[in-house]
Amino acid sequence: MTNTAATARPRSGPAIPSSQGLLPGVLLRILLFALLIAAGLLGIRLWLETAGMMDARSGLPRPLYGWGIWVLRSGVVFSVVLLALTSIRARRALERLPADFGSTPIAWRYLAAHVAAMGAVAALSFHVYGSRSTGLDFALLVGVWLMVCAAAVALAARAILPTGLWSILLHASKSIWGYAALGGLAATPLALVCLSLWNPLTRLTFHAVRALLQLFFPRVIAIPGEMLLGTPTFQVTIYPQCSGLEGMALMLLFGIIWLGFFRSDYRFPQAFLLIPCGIVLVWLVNVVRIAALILIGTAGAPQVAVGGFHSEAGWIAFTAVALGFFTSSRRLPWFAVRAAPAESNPVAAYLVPFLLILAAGMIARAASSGSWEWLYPLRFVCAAAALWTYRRQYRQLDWRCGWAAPVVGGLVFLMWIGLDVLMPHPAGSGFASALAAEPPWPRAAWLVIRTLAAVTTVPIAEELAFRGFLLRRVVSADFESVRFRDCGYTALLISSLLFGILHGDRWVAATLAGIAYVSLVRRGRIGDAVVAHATTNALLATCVLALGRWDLW
Amino acid sequence: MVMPWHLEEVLVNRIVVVVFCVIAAAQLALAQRADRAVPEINASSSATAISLISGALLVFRGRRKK
Repeated sequence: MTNTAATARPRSGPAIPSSQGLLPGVLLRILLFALLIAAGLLGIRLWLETAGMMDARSGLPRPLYGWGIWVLRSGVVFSVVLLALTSIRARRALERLPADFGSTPIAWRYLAAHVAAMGAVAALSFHVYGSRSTGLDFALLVGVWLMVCAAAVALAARAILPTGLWSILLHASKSIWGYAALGGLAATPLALVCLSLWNPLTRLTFHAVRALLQLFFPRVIAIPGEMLLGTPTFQVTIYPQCSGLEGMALMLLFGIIWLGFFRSDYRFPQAFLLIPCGIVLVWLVNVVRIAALILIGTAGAPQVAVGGFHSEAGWIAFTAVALGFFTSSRRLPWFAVRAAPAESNPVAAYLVPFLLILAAGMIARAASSGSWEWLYPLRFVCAAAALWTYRRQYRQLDWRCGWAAPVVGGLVFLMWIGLDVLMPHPAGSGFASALAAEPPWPRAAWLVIRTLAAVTTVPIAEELAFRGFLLRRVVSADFESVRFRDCGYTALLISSLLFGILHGDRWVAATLAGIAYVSLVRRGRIGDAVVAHATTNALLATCVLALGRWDLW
Repeated sequence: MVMPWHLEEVLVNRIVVVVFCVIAAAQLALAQRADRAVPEINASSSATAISLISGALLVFRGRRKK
């Protein structure tokens, strides 16, 4: 049986290639090209560094080596700007191109030639950096070396896209290449400016935190020479990485992305003022974060202060400020145009339960001392509340399951344990002792809720997010009209890999588990995937409770 | 079969590029001073935060589309 929504627009298969499919195809090829070149250069550099050949060389190769890391950084900025601007500015021009351009296969012969050329570059690099000569023969060697480098880049470009498409691409987006080049060139001096900001910003943060603490404590310990700050019972050192500079850089990027996403909702140019406001706000919140850390430490929970709070509060602060500030800004008439009220939000029903689990998890880890999350029940409550809120929207999904679901869930459990034997993870010894230190009733209640979450809210929320939404969203923006069986290998790999990455150290096992659950859901019933996932989690919970394998949680 | 270069337009334009931008910027910022990177902030908490932000953006976009 297929789900009701899927039957709304039957498909015989993905409607590709179309002109809509061309642009992302081209962009992905350019990304692949950039990755290919970067991987080759990094490989050669690492090889030469391992061989200890980078110190003695003089002449042109020496600065070329010194600039290498900056060239790489500039290349990253160039690629990001090019991809972002092309996706916005040159989209229409590219969509007018013949549809079959996007599906042109990779030219494997040229790719093989590129690999051979990179081998030649590596061999020549060995001679260039190994030679002690400085005469004409060395200049010729360097000349040949540079030409082979250029040939390797050209061969990679030809392998990834046909020459004709490169020509059309350059013509259609010529100004964008200029902007991207400017961005790439500006990256180095801007990065150097950023480096010079570390120390002054650290001092500014130090004084701001001290001023804030003086509002609460009659006596504040402040030694500017050592950047030591705190109260008589608890002090911290303000290092440069505590200055908030990285958060400010991320806020800058987030602001640009947000305004790009929702550009039709804002009034420009005044909307650009939101970005510096956001940057200042995130720095102020960082000051509050450090003051809060000292307050927590002084209040008698130094382990929480330097443990979970120290690790998580930065990301919590950034996420809350970024989303809160820019969401609120849409309600300010001077910045934003009045948007029509939303009728419904199909994405929210699939993602909000999982996002609330993530958010509650961050809060729970921040409130912990690092060994165990006493606030874990917050995850269960948040997810359960979201699932209850959206319960009517889930009726369109097929929640039935067959016998294969628990079988697959059991097999995934065996795979999980097997991989854990092959690739053991450090056992959380602090977890068991911290839990054992709790009184019996809170401990039992925590274990019940933890197990309940593992077999109910977690599988439902994760399957809705990764299989119900992401798997189908890869195929089409109108994801509810996509039948599970029409999700191809790309969708399978993307959704499973992201599912795996979010499981941290056990990402290999989780990715394989994701693939197994996708194989079930492709039969058309999300209930199969949920039951399989719940079975796996139930068996893991049994292992944890029966054998004391706390590391599996 | 859907191949990587057949991915739906909006996905690449609005999601993947954004996620890559955030990751690239975070890595660039941290790479500037690898010796000063905060040791307590691990890849897992970064991945969680980036997922949360990306997911929230998708939800906002979903509300807007209707």
